Amino acid sequence: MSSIDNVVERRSPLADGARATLPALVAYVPFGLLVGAHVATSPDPLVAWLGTFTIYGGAAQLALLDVLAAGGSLLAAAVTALLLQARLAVYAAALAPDWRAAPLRGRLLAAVTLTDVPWAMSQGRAGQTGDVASRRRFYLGAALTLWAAWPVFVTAGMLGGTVLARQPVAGLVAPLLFGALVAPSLRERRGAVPALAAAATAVVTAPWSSGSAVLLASAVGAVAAAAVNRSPR
Amino acid sequence: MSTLAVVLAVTAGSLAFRLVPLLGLVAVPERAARVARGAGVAAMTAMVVRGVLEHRDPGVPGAGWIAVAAVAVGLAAAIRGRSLSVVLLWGLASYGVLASAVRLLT
Repeated sequence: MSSIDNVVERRSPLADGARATLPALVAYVPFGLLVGAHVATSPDPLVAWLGTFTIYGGAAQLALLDVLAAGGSLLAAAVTALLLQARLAVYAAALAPDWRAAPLRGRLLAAVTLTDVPWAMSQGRAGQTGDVASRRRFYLGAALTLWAAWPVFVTAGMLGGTVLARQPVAGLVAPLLFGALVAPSLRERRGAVPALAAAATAVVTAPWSSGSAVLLASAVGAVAAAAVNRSPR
Repeated sequence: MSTLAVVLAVTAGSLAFRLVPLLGLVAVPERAARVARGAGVAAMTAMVVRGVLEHRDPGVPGAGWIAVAAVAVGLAAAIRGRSLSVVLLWGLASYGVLASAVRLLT
């Protein structure tokens, strides 16, 4: 066996997942700084910061703090954040078949670190390899990398990284990041149809709060995906 | 105290969303998982669209349309199989160039 073959043999899916996530980490920096800036101005910054680990969803954490800062009720803050987090149930359901036979601690780790980027990356990986164990390790590599880096960005934002986060162009980083992750799905009909249905729903529901709009778009996408899966081609 | 109550509630809900399907507390057949994949793509697409629609740049007239163009450039690169770094670079650079051009012309 040549030395190149040896290197290929030794490539770890865990390390591949971690490496694949590095460009996404750059994209998460301004978002993390923005969340950190909101955490710092919260009436209870320590609790808000702890939410970085426990909620582990930047958009939900930001929405929660914004609603409270604007004088909204506790219920409104919780519902808004939970509507945004509801998409995690969809991601978890899509991952479930791959993790059915995994040990409990592996499933717990996969669940606790689940968010948009590792999920989308693991779906991209699913199209490349049929080996379930390899896909699981790839997912964990991606998920653990982001899980370790995200609190660092938020903490840096608390300590004064708001200048970068408040640049208007920083607001485009998240759409570009998510767009890049979704794009490979658009090449196939079963990904393109739900995406188009969701895009139309998002335009129509633009005046709504993010949580309800994303939840409805996700439901419309599910209906479209079911229709595409049922159709003969 | 109020922040603590909300953070605890959202933490509990987020954990339930993540844990229930992955721990097998509800059965997820392959067909449902395929539909969930479509719903996941839909959720991320909706966040892309909302991110663009919510874009504001007080110093640039027509910033919303420039954001649409910049994200379209990034998406085109992504669909052609470019890496995540290239997609981000092209999208942000497009916004920078277009926004500067509009500022100069107005």
